[in-house]
Formats: sequence, structure tokens, C-alpha cells
Amino acid sequence: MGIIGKRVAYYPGCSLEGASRAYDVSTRIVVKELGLELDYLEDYNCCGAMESKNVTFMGTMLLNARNMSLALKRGHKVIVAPCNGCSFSLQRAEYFLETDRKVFEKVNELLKEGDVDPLDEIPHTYHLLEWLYNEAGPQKVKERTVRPLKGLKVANYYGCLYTRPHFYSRTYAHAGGNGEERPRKRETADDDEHPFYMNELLEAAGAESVYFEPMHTQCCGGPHSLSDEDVSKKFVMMILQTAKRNGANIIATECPLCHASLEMYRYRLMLEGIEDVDVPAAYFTQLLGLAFGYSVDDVKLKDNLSDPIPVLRRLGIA
Amino acid sequence: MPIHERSLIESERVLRKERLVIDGIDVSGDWNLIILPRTVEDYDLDFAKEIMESPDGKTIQQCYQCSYCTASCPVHNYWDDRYNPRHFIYLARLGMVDELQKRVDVMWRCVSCHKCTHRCPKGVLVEDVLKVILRVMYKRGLIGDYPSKKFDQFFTESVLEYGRIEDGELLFGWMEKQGYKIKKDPILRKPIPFFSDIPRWLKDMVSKPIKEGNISFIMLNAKHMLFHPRTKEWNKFKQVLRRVMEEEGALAKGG
Amino acid sequence: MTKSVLVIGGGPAGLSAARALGKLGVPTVLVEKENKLGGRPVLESYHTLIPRKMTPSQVLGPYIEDVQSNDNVKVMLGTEIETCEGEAGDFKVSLSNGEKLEVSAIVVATGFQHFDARRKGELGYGIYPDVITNLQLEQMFSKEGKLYRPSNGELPKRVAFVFCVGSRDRQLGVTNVHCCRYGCALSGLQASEIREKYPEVDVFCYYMDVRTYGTWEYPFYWAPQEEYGVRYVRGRIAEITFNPADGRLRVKHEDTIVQRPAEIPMDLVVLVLGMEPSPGTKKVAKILGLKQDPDSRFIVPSDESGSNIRSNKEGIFIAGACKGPIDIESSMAEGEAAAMEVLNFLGAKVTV
Repeated sequence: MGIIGKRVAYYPGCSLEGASRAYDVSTRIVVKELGLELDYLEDYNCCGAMESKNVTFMGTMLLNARNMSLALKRGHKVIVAPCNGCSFSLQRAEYFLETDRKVFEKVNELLKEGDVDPLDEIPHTYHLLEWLYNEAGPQKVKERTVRPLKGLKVANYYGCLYTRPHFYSRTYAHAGGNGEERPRKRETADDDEHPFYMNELLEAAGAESVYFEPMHTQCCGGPHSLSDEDVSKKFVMMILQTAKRNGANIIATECPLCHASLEMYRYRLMLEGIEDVDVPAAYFTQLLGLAFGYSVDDVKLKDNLSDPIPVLRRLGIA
Repeated sequence: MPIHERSLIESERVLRKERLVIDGIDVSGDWNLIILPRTVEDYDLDFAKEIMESPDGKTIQQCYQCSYCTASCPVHNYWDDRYNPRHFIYLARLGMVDELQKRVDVMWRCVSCHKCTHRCPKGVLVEDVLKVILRVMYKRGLIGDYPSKKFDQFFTESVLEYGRIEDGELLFGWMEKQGYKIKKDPILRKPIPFFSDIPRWLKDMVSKPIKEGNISFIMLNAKHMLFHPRTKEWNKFKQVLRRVMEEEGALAKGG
Repeated sequence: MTKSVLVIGGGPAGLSAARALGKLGVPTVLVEKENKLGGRPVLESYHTLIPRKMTPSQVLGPYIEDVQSNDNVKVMLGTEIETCEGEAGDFKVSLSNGEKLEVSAIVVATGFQHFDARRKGELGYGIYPDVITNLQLEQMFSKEGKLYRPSNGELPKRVAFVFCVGSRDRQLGVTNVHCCRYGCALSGLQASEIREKYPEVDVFCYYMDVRTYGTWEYPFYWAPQEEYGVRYVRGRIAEITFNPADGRLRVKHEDTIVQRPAEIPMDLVVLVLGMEPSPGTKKVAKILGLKQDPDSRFIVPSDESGSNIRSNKEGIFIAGACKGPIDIESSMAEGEAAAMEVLNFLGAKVTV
């Protein structure tokens, strides 16, 4: 542990400064409590999420390269992003910049034209969860916990892009083989098909994880949550029903996009009278914040559309 | 002559004639149904080449059609089995454009979950490749404005303009594009959710923080809706970005 | 003086056997039907050999030289065997040139022949000049150093490889149901060579399966696609026609993956030929009483021994393509293995 760095560049992403501010606020609380430090990446731009890559290849490379350049300028070789979409975008750019010399050179040329410092190296991006697990870990969480999440049965929802695809995320199976067959593998990365970092962190805070495979990494409809409502609705229904039927009283999330999609469609499914979809969602950092003794308002639980407060109150956690 | 599976005969290829005369002989009655042949007459290799030339599309050449991707795909498994990444890759690699076009109604449905790319035993960046196929098809006018395309374009152009996106703009802007009447204030032309004709779930969603008196949340989002968050050092970079997108043919048509 | 060992066939397997025996001091007679040593690769001017992409002279040249310069090996060209009597340790063999030999052991390395593509009339070989065999393509490369359409001498815009012509084919009866084993790999190599030299030429391989087993997988299946952009289409070519309007061929097939019939214009079509036992193999098998596969007529090893070098007759050993399709490298290794089996049979002791 401790090989990523205690102080890193923080790329919150657009969502965390808007509708998903609860994730940002709770992230900062948890990071501080665990003795780590985030250096806000001043004047960053959108990563392009899952959208701009479908429109423009080079444009998307540039968006991410600019953010990388900002990080380097502030002296960081590590970027931490709390959003699956942002960490995916940055890691995807990292992949193409590392593996395709032509892309790298072209990007640098264009950065210069745009008055942005070219990249003399490529900083690595980690998902917040991976960073917290490796730099603090369950033990530290346990030590800091003053209000254990007792009675909380959590369905840990990782979503798609935290572990996939391994080309970008550098995840790999923890069991079997020596793992060295993957040239871009990363020691700190979670297990690709069976991630467990969030489970362990929340368990360390006193929560109980319910069985949630394979829905823990099943898609929520994500980038199509507005443009393809039918598919998104069905996917969210499958996720929520599995959580509920496996005994969960809360879903923990680690991506603002997944979180929004789950909450939005949860409400719409409930309006339509669909059964077993009423499990509320909270960011894992909100739950950790509560465990560390912070209040409902501190971790902005009121922002959550799915309103997890009653469940937490009943268990005496909030 | 082999009897074609009925499902392979598209109705456009079936010609039914009341009366049919061949070489002066009236064969009506016996031979009044003709099924036009479906022979592939050539490949569109330029189409395939354009996909392979994109850095995110070149791994298309590594595919060996094992269908691990399709077998993993949630859209294929839980939504519509006509969505078949393996098949799309095969068609695109040979430039069988008309076959791809028969599937345009499902081709855009990829939710970018990346199970395909993650699991591909040959290292094909399946998700990227499929998006490149769509990109090239769109550029060549082989596929119309499919729903996610509209959203992607809307999103990307917002990023291009401001450097950042804003949730409210995306949500209400998108609803407006869907045909909902969004009421706007007369000065800044910003949406006013409560007087808009929007679905109930959205109204409820917007009114939750108001009911609960979550003032700071309302203030933050109202501020963002009024003053779009933007990246400060953006203008010069934006020009480069716009040029790159123009070169790629990535800006909205006519826009 | 000890009796000689007879090696029948001067191709890769026979050469390797004779060379090894000669080097170990065993008096050896090598009879070869043709007037030149080297077998198919040399006689038919192969261009590049799979899997190591060397020329026949690089691979077989030193072997030929060794055999010719070794006093223990007597080479008899233009010679075939006619009869054989006696038993292991004491075979009496009469040759086509009237000579009689007394030999203690025999190595059969009589090889294969290419399938005659004219037997597949629907493919138009022998009718349309632009339908050629992969052997002719090798010779185009090796003798003329360029790719062209025999009909007009121009560079083809598109080349199609038709896999499994005369292989895996029950249409021809029971004789050609086996896999040729080299075709997929050689086609991958030839297609890559075309693409490397003429990047403007599009190359298509029409296949049912691609069998580039073991370490051949990358160089002869993936490199053609990933490095040279060769396209693989799954469907067996059923008919080749000529369109006078544009002077191009049409390859007719069902694209099985799209489930549609297809007729694609091509400028040059290369038929990938299967392997059959050579006339010499069939003849020698009969003379020596060797067991053959009832369908393909290739010689098969003894049922009793785990060694696939031993025939059903004691003292007679079999190596190379007379036993079935095989690549040149393995063929040579089998020749050497046969030499070892001969030594073992003779009870020879080698002092070091």
C-alpha cells in the first residue's frame, strides 16, 4: 500500500460541481479524515465523458490531454477522479497516448497551438475508490469509524467503467495466473470481474455487503439514460430488483452518472408501480462520512433524490 | 434450388404480379411470385478503410468472429438480439454497407458498458470500433440522426462552447429537443422548470429540494443554470478544438 | 562388408535420411525418380517455405551438397524400384536401370503430389487463365518475380485465395477428405507477400476454418490480417465465372456469416491445392507390401509400434509426405528420425 501517493491532483469533473455536489463534498470529508490530500485541478475542462468520444477522436484526446497538462503543471503525476466516466476518459486517453506514437505527437502539437503546455510525460489516472483503498485501506477506515454502519445491508454497485475495459482501467483478475501476461496491468487495480474494494471499505465501516453479482458491474444505461429511456429503464430495474431481492436496504455508488441514473429511473419505475425497486442510493463516501461521525447535512444526504435518510435514521446511523 | 428461410426474404424483394408473360407465354397463376435475388455485388472497401484508419478503429482487423463480445453484451442479451457487435464488425470490415443499414435501428443502442472490449480474446477495442462504425456511417449519410447521436452532439458542442457541461442545461435542453415545451425566462432565455410542460417524474425531481428546503442545493444549481460554468483559459484552445473537429467532420451538419 | 541401406526418394525426407545415415558411416543408396535431388520444393521452384520463410535452396541446398559429397551415399537419379524380395536384413531390390541391390533396410520417402485442380470443373481452372494454383503463384514469385494476370499481364487489383481445393472434399469420393495442413499457412504467407509488395492490391481469403496450428497462428493467420490487411471471408467458393463485360472473374459463394449469396469481382483467383500420395508412393507401397490408408492411400505406420516411422513391415521405415500432408521442416525431421530407427534396427554402435 501507499504506492500511488498521498497527495494527488483532484479532477472532480463537471457533475461533482453541480447536481452531484454531495459526492464531491463527502469525498473531501473522507479524504481529509483518512489523512490524504487532494489538490484541486484549477480550471479543468470536461473530459468528454462517454459522448464526445463518439463524435471526435482527436477532440476527445485533446480534452483529456489538456487536463493532464494542467496536472503536470501543478507537479502531479497522478490524477484521481471520483467519476467512472472521467476516470475512464482520462485512462482511455492515457492508453492511446502511450500506445500510439502518432497520436501522442499530434496531440502535443495541437496542445501547443492551443497555448497549453505539451505533455512531456503522461500522468496516470486512478479512480477515487482505487486510490482510497490503496492509500488508506479498510484498516484506516476501521480506525476512523466512530459510528459503525450497523444493520446497513449494502449492495455495492460499481458500474461499468470502474473495472472495464482492462486496456484502460488496467484491472485484471486477482486470482489465477501471475497477472504478468497483461503488459499494462497495475498492482493497485481492483479485480476486473469481481471488484471488492468498495465492499471492504464499507464493511470496515461496519456495513454488511449483500451478494450482488453480476449486477454489481451491470450497466445502468449510463450514457443513454436520457437518449434511450427504454433500455435504461430495464437495466436499472434489473439492478434495483436484484439488490432488493438479495436483501439490500441501500445501494452504494461510486459514480455520479450511475447514481443519477439509478435514482432517476428508480423514481420513474416506482411511479409506474414496478415492484421491488425502492432501494435508495448513496455515494459510498456519504456512507463513510456518516461512519466517521459526520451529519446528514455534512454529507449532503438531502441531495439524494432517492432519499436514503429514512433507512439510515431507522438504523440509527443518521 | 434451395428454399430460403422465410425470415431471410424481405418483403421489398417479393414481387407479386397479377399477370406474368414470359417470352410470349402467359404463365400467370403458376409463376406470379418473383423473389428478387439478394446477391452481394461488391464490397465498399473505402468505408472499411476509413474505419481502420481511425486510431480507435484499427483493431477491427484483429477480430476472429468468436462472438465473445456479443455473448457478453447486455443490449444483445436483455434488449434486442438483433444488436450483434460481432456481426457489425464483420460487415464493417468487408464494407457491406447495405447490410449495416438494415440494422441502423438497433446499431446505436450500445450503452458503452465495455464488456465487449474488456473480454475480447483478440484485443479488439470493440466498443470503440462500433462507435467508429457509427461515426463513419453518419459522416457518409448512411445513418440518420439516431437518438444517442443527437445527445452526443449536443453534449460535445456544449463542451466545445464552455469547456464544461451543466446538468440542468443537458437535462432541459434534451427534454426540449424531445419536443417538451420548456418555458424560458424572457431575458436570459434560461429554462424555468416549474412552468414547463415536462413529465411528472422530472417535476417531482426538481421540486424535491424545494420541498425539503435544501437551499444551498437550489442556489448552486440555479447559479449554474443562469451562469453556465466555464473553463477560463478556453478561447485559444477552443479554436484548435473546433478546427480538429471540423477536420474530422465532427461538427453538427449545417452547424 | 555391411549391407547398404536403401532410401527411396530424394525429397526433403529422403535427403535428410540419406544424409544422416551417410554421416554416421552407414553405406546408403539413394534412388530418386527424377533427374534432380530436392523433391517438390526444388523441382517445382517453390519461392518461400513455411514456417521459417526461407528459400528451398537455403533449406535443402546444404542437405543436397552433404549427400552428394559423402562417399557413404550413392545417389542414383532417374531411377525407380521395380521389385523387392526377401525380408528384413536381407532385401533384394531390382531397379529400373537393371541393377540389383542387396540391402538390409529400406526408408520410403516417396512423397506426395498436388491435387489436380481440373478435377474441380466448377472452379474454371484450365478454362480461365486468371484462375491459377498456389503452386503457379509460387512460381510467378520465384521465376518471374512479379504478380500478374495471365490473361493480360497486368497487375490484378484483387486477388482471392480459395482454400481447400482438393482437400476436405467428399465430392471427390473418399480420397480427398483429409486436410492439406499447409494450405492455410501458405496462403497467409502468399497473401502477405502480395500485400507487402503491392499494397494497392486487395487480397481476400475464402475459408471455412483457418488451421494455422501451433506457433503458425500468428505469422500465418494474424500477421496477414493485422500487419498486411488481408481480408478473410467465411464461405467456400462454389463456382468461378467470367464476366466478359468487365473481363473480371466472379467468385460465387455464400457468405455464411451474412447468410447471403455473393458474387464478387476478382482479377486473379488462386486455388489452394490439396495433397495426395504421389504415384511413386502408391507404386512403392504396392511393391513393398506396405499398409495404406484405405481412403487416401497414404502409407500408414505399423499398428504395433508407437513410432510413426515404422511401417507394418520389419526393416522398412516411412518418412515424410508419403504418410500424409506434412510441412517441409517436419518432413526433414522425420527423415532423420528414420535414419535413427534404421541404426537401431541394424544394431549399429556409434563410437564417439
